[in-house]
Amino acid sequence: MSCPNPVALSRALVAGVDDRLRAHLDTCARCSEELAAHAAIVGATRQLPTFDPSEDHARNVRVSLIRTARTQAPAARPRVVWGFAAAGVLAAAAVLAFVVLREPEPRPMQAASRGTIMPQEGAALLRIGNAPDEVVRIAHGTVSVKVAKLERGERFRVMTGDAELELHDGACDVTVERDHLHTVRVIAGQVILRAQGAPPRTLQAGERWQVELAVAEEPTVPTAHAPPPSKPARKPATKSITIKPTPSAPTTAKRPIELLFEEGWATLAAGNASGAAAIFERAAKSAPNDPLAEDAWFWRASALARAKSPAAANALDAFIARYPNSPRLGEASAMLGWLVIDSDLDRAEKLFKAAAADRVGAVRASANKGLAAIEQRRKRR
Amino acid sequence: MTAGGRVIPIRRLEPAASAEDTQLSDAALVAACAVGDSAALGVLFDRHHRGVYAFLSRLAGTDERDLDDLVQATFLQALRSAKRYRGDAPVHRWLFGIAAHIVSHHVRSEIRRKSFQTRLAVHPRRLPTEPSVHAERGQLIDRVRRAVDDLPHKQKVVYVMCELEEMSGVDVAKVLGMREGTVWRLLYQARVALRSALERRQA
Repeated sequence: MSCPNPVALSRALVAGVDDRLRAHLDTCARCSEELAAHAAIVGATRQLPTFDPSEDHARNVRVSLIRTARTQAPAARPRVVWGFAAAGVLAAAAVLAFVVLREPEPRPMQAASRGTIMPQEGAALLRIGNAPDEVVRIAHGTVSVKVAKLERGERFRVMTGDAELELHDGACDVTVERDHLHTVRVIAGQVILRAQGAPPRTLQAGERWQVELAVAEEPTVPTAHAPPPSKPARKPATKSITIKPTPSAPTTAKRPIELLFEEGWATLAAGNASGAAAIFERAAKSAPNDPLAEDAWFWRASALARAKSPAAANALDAFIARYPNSPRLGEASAMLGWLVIDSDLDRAEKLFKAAAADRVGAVRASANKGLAAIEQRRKRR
Repeated sequence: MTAGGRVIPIRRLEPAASAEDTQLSDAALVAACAVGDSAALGVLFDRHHRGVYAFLSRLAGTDERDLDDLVQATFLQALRSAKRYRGDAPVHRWLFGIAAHIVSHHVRSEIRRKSFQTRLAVHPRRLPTEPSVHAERGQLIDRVRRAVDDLPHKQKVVYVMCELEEMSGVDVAKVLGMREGTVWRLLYQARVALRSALERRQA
């Protein structure tokens, strides 16, 4: 082999030396020296120190970045004609599916997701269960969801603090306000809605379900795909449940606690449960009398539990003591029950019994499972 | 939980639910950025700011304050460009591409101006001075840094990406929007320039 051109020789340092070149280098002193000289320079440049920001430094830059990003945020998307809304959402979902499916480093041994989710600005959500039983938990905001045809044994659910939606080969927009389901707009297929205190119902394409507000004439929270006023509104689905509206109507300017709450959710979604717990705590302390503070304390405790923090049990305990009438009391009790089951069976039993009467089926199921586990352990003794 | 399905808050206690299972992927965060979600941008920053700082500090040859501006500009541009991200390269490398363009097209002239003004007043101190016991090594590092700083921008970007960030030629070509052959040519030119600069300085 004659000497390779110098560019190819230089490339070999990055792309690797093949057998042919290696054989050549064994016999050609000039090329070997050339390669060694390049490698020596690489070695020298790799010793150059880089700037590693401290946590405080990075935090300051982050704050500045987010502030600038919010001030430079693009104008809200114009409302689109209803006829085009479905196409828009489907197209967006298709783009997202393209991105997700082409994720460069797919995790092995994990079934492919059947659904695509498209959060709109400010939405806080978490993909909590993977295929074949996919669960997306939405805490706040509007999210467009599209689910492909599911195979036998596969499920795709969207959950909020008070309801569950199940999709199968369909698409919908879901709006959640502070963990309460507010609006469901079915764009394609069917959506099964299981809401607190109401029998399950099936919503068809074109139907829109909206929570019945206790205060009459409460304005609908607009979504990016809301139909224009000129178009006759579609007949809304029968309103089946009543949930008290949150005390303050949604406004364009978010309060600090809301921003922190959303940041906490995003941090939790990113897998940083400890960081999320700290942010939820800041949120709760920033406005202790705000209704959202209760949610923030709950999610702080949940995040600590998820981080396997020793402080989780105390946090759940404090939540239960602080909010004895909270609708989340059952969830918190069941979580705490599982945390203490190894150390204090009697206490765990008491907690599971308290959760066994919860309004949410999943909480009851968890509590009953906990009670069964306690019984087994006692038998073993 | 039961076979009927795993439901959220309770499921958090299951040991099987590792943090990795519930993490939003980088691609999902970029998708959220595409609809202007600044919270997602914050998470993206948390994940990748160290890498971007390291990349820019190798590339830009600038001081700490300029670095902050460059890092911030990189992430803001990422927010604006998120709609165009197609997953061709991992997100952190896509960010490197944005950072390289930021340095190249928007901020570089300003940095040079500032750097020049600083040099007029005082010898630049970009990184902590090496202790005297390591003076020789410190001098070598200083020579190498100057040689890297003096490379033409494109050569420097390609060199830093290929050799210091250990990116493949294909990835470098993708994030910089150039042909792979151009990457190898620029890399070779950077090596030659570095070698001659170091030999010159040593002499």
